[in-house]
Amino acid sequence: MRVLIFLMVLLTGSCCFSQEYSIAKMPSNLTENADAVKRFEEFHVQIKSIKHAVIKHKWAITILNQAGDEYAFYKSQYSKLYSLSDIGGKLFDQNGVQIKKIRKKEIGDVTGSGEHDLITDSRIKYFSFHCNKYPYTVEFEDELSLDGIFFLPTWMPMSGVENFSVEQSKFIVETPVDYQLRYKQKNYPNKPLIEQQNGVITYTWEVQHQLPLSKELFRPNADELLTTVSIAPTLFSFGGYSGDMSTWEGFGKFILALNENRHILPPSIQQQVHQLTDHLTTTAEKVAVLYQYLQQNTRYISIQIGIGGWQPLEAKFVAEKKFGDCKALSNFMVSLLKEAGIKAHYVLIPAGDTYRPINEDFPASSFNHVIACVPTNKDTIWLECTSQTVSPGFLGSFTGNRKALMITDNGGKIVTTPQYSAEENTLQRTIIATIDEEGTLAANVTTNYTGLEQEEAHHQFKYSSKEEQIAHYNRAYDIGTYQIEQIDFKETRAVVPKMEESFTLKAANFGSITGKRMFVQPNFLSKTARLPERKHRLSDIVYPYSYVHTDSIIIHLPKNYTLESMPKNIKISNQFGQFYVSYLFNDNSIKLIRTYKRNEGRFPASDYEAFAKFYEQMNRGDLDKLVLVK
Amino acid sequence: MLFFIQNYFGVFYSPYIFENFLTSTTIYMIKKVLLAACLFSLSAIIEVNGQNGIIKKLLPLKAEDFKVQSTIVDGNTDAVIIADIGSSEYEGNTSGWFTIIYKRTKRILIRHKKAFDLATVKVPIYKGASTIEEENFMDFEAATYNLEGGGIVESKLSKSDIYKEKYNSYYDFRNFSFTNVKEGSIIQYTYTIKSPYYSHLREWKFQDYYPVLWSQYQVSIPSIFDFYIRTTKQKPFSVDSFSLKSAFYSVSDAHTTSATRTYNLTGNDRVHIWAMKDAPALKSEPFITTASNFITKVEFNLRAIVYSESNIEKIMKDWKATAKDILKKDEYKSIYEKHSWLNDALTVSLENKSDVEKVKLMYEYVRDNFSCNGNESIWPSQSIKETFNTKTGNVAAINLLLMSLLHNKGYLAKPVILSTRENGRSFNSAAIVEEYNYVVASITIDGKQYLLDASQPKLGFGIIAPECLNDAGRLIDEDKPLFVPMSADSVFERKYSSMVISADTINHLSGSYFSNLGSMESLQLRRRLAKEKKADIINSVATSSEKMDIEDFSFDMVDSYDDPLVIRYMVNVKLEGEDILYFNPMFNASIRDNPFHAAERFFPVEMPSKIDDTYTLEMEVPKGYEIDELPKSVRVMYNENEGMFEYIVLKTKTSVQLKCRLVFYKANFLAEDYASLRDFYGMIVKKEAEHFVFKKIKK
Repeated sequence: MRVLIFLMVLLTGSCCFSQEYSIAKMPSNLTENADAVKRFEEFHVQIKSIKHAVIKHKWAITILNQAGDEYAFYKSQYSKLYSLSDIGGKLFDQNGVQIKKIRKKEIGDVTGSGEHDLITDSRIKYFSFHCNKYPYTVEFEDELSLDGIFFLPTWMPMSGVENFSVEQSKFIVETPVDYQLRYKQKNYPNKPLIEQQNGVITYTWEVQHQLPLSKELFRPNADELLTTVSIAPTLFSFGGYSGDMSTWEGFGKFILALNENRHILPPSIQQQVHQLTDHLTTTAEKVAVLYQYLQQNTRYISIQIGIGGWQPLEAKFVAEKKFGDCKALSNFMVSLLKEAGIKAHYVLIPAGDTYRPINEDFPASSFNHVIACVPTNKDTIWLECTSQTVSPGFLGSFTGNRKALMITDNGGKIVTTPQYSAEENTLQRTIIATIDEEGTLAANVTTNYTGLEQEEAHHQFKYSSKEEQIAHYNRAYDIGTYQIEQIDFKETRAVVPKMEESFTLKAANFGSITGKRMFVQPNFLSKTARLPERKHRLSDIVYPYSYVHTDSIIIHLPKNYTLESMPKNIKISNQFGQFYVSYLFNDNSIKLIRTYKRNEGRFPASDYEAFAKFYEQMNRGDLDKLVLVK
Repeated sequence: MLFFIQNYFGVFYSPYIFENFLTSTTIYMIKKVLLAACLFSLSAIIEVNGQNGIIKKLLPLKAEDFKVQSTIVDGNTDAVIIADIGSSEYEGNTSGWFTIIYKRTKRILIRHKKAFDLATVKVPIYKGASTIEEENFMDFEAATYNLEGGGIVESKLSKSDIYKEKYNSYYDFRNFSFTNVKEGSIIQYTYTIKSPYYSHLREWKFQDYYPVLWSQYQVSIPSIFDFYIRTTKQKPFSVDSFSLKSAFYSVSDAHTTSATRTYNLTGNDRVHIWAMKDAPALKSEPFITTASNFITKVEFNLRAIVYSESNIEKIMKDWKATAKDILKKDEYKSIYEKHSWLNDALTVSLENKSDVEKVKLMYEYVRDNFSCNGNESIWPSQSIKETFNTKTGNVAAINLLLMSLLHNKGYLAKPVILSTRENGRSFNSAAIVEEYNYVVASITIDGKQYLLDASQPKLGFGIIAPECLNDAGRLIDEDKPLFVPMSADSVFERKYSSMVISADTINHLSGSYFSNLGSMESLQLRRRLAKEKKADIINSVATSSEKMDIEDFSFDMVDSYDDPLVIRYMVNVKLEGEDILYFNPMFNASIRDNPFHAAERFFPVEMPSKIDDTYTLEMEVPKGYEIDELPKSVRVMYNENEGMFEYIVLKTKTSVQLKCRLVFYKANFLAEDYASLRDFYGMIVKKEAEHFVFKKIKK
């Protein structure tokens, strides 16, 4: 018996020798500047019917250094509607010799529920290979069975945006002959290969030898740079509902069906709505009052089970429990407004800054969030219903400045959420400070923020405990050792909200004394970092929005010192923005005004040298010092 | 007939303590022994140390409960744990043994939205291996209370509001979220967990991230179980009482094929009550190993099962017996077995090498060819052979392989088990093996002991990573299970940096900098270099408040793990013919921020190592300039001889030299030392901010 086992080991050992993953076989231009190389991928989507699809996925990645280790991690989500099976993983050394195969018991299985989720049926299977002998290769495969084809995957051969290259990757989609598939290609020069055989249409896309991109700051969205092919259904079925996604109208009608009869409020809440709003005259007032009611009475808790990942919990559930997720709370808000006689809409949106924007010409399910909106004659009032703190009408960086799908009685309609101008995104800081003979600074700092610039202060005010605030502000600035006290905030709720933040700041050794002199860096809170030098910038430079930052600083200098030297004024203006610094010495105090305006826009990669130079100039200006002498 | 737990060592110390127990424990019944045990316990002395304040049952809420008055609560307190009351007691079960009944009631006042997260509760339920019943969650009651119009409005949760969540293969959750929660609501919940894991008496934490007005835990332990009880506290408990109470247990064995037998047992329970009044919110502070080392808590470890005075099954043993047991386990036994396949595997030649060189080569072979999967344990994830074949394993798997390889080449290496900083401090005076989560190898060559950890890819020979320096480890040796000091006090972090600036032409200075980093900083940077892009690291290593351009940046000795990592770069400073020129002579080397921010501190200061950091500067006076003013030289001692800072400036007509050195001869300081440490660093920051001043020579 022992001998037999030994023989079997030998046999399996030899048949696992896989030439194809040998490093020697890899073109060298793929490894230059890369942490990992996708050697092979077959991403195979079989649409069996509108009710069922199977996704078979197999891929291999060669990992060149420790930064690429993340690609040795397998993780896949499943739930009631998506069953995951046939998970496999193999590890190969640099010669392509298999050294490990994953065993079933090594595959972890955990809940997909996060901190704020009360319950979800989403689960995650995962495992990882660990190898510190580089390069090495991992091969993974799995199969996902979809109950309904509402979501179909997007093929993106580059698994990582930076320092990742692709040797070969193939996307195959099969549909029944009578099924009309829709697809959208980006950065793919050819048409797919389309074949028909045995009642099945096969679409094939393939790329080879895609070279890696480097990390670049202020780069366009990854979606613009990489090859992607998205596919989407025409007719589909999902969780017992069916629809037609060919148009956004159709998509919206499906959502309407999911939400049908889920807006009914209990009589007590109906009465409350009337008590709150009947005496008010304008829509804006009514919206503000009801939104405040929502914010004061409900909180965000996520519950996602089956179709419940897409269907809101009923308004009466929220009325009773006083909690819900984005769908439930938005639906509840729309229901409250409806009761008050105001037409409001449920809006699907891709939220966050890493989520891919939707394609206006390609209806597909690429949303991860829901908000509400009220169209009025002049303007649309936007309502983020999961926040208990944000002002009615304001959409911040999470949902602002992007396309979204508004659900109307006639189906879906693409809308654009607000973008804020330089005048709306401001930081205005006033500092009045004194430096004593020991060099200790005592400053009163008041900062007014508006629009997108107030988000951080708003978050500190509303979500951090006093202790966390103190810890945050005591780490926020690069001025050596200092203490911040008496932190205070004032909020002005408005469509473009304002936050006033004030504190006192004490910094010992702020003025550094050597012999008869004292050195003082008068601009101490607003500092610009330098940008990394990069000779070969490839992508455009993108500033997503404009802002204006102004610091007015008055520092009273110690009496027994006089000014020996003062920095020069700075005035720079170019396509990226303006940077002005002026100094005024008067009555033993120095007044500094620093203004930086950033221009929203897109600049060609060839501008990068000038761009980096601009940052360097600002960095140098921000480090300027006064010299005082006794 | 009575119950007898098969002596299975694994009961006691694996992190999967329950799992081992479940799969391999057989319950025997030996009546005589138990009867004897009962008799034995009756003779114990009754001692009651009653104190006031013990809460039997929470009183119904009154309107004034919504207004908390306490010295540990102020206007910025977002939530208050009004009461957290728990108990564990035993009950005879029908599987011929005991079940633990754990009850908990918690009452919380939510004062601000920021604390709404407290209104969603996830209770972990251990389910263990599938062969035995899982823990049972029951007697659930929960409600939100709001003051409305002078009255208290109750919003109850029902059983249907509990969501069962399968977390992983060991734990499930019972999740529930309170309804109608507003600022000013009080939420209260009660539940019971019935657990068949009789040796797992739940620990209790008396502190939270919010202030706790009253936290109380009562345990009643039948005399058959002898628990080792440990408390951690910063100040005395408000109640700390112990008494004996007569108890009655009915145990039956319904699982056998014959008729059910029932045994009625009487004896004395040991009843402990601990309570803490007004425990302030937990705060983490920099320079401590881990905050959890300092939480006020009580923990339990089963020391023995006492069947009778003469029949005591020792579960917790002394270190000698424990070491013996560990070495008897297959995984550890295998270290010292002959593995001819392992002998052949070594690809490096050991010929003509000294003993230290040979051991070092074998250490490097294992470190560089086998990968740790990041899981820490003293138990290997698999056999040595399998580790060898798959080239990967957990910490124990890698280091056991190293020891086995050494043994097969004629070198005796012994395991040293330890608890990492993150895992918390291990308790040295008792052999509680489940507290240990890491194992390294100890080998003595020519009278010198080396500790080797091959599971850390970038570690030098004989170096232990800072994460593992948590006071001490324990040598696993049957005869001499020695305490192995592994304190931060045993590591000297020596760094030497130098900057040379020459004034080559008018209005231009050029300099060259190098720095030999200490072993810990070298390790840290090597780890970063492996993962991050060099450009990003340069940006973070060489940021300066001085206006200079940095060029030709390089990291040397990146792959020579036994040597210090070296940083080199050149600097260029362009002058603009200013009348007065000034430089901070420390350039990038200064400590610009006092690491001790907070004005006061509760915990001791645990720095990662001792420090010896020297920086020297040689600078030519810029062409056309003369020295105007230089910082004064100083030398300051800390606590007489525990530390030293010196800043010595020398000048000639054309050049200036600076030597700046900071030394700390110890790494661990008492909380009382905090203020003086903070002042000492304040002085350093101030001195290192001083400038050299030159003025233009007037023609």
